[in-house]
Amino acid sequence: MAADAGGGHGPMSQFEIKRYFPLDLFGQDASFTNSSLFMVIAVASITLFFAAAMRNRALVPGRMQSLAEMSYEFIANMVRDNVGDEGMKYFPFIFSLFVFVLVLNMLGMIPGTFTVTSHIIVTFALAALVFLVVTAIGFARHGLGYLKLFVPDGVPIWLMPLIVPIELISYLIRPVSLSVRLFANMMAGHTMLKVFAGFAVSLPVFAKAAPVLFTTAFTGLEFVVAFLQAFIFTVLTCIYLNDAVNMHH
Amino acid sequence: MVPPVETSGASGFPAVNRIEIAMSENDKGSGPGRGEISPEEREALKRRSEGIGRRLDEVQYRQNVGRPQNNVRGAAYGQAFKIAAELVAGIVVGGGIGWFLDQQFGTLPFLMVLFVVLGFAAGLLNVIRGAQQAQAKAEHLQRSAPSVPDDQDDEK
Repeated sequence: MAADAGGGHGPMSQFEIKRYFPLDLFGQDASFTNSSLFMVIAVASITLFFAAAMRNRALVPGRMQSLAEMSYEFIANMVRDNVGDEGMKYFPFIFSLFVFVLVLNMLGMIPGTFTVTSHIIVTFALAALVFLVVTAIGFARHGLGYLKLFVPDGVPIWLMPLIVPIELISYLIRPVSLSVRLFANMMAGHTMLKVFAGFAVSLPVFAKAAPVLFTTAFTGLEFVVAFLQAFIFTVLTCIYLNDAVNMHH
Repeated sequence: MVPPVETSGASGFPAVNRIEIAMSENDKGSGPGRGEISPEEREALKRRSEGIGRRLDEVQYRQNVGRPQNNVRGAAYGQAFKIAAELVAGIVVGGGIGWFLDQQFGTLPFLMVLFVVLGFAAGLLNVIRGAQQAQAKAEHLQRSAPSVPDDQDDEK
């Protein structure tokens, strides 16, 4: 892979951050890195794709347009199924989230590229955004009544001191589990691929077939995982949004 | 189930019917009123539309058969990872909160131990809720699945 050419050849070297334009902003490191570069590539390609796909606005869609329409319907159905029609107000947020994560995951599958979502700080930032937005929506719609989320119905009073902290923690877990899942999947998968690709190089000739076959099959699985994790990230966002929009469900 | 038998019928008839109709149209030319159709023609049209309907149903059926398998396998994989992440995150977040409170009150190990346990409980709670939701969704899907898809489509 091209990414290895400069640095080491270890399976973890693909996750190294490289600073292209060092920049120090008020004591914070705000350099333009390979991670930033791929985020820019993702946003640019998403924008270009949708602009190009919807340029004709044909009644009978072409290939590009039907891909765009399919992705729209896919997320729109997901939002309607999980949140209801009320949730369509927040469709743009969910859709952007899905497409952004999906394209970042898929870009990472091209050999030599950098997988932005394999860094927990990126996925945690996304998950924290989801968490804050959902919490804000909850309080905006229900006021202080949103706190009832932490007090389940039918629990005896004397159990409250135990249940309320547990409910509170289970709410606070959300951004962590959301980000850990995406990052762990992406990092584990890419590391595995690299390790087995390494075997293909280092093993004697007669044993090379096994790691090559495995790497090939595993690459296919990685594509599934890349899509699936974007899907799960979005579905869980919808489920959290559902709690905030219609509390009793 | 249904398709194998009907496949042969559906793929056999339409081609023949199309020729029949084309021929009979040519025969009449600009003869009698366009609204009138002879009995054979009506029969042919009916058979033809049935053939198309069956073929559509078949395509739909094939798509629906292919999809759940993929979805189920993917969803199961996702579910497994969801559970693992939930449990780990519960303990980590619980431990973090406990540690932070310990720092504030200077009671180092105790609150952290308590909150790790609470965090584990919260993780379990999330896992159970997630499983319940998945189960409810699966049951809903099973109930809403049409038993005989052909008839519905033919009505339209």
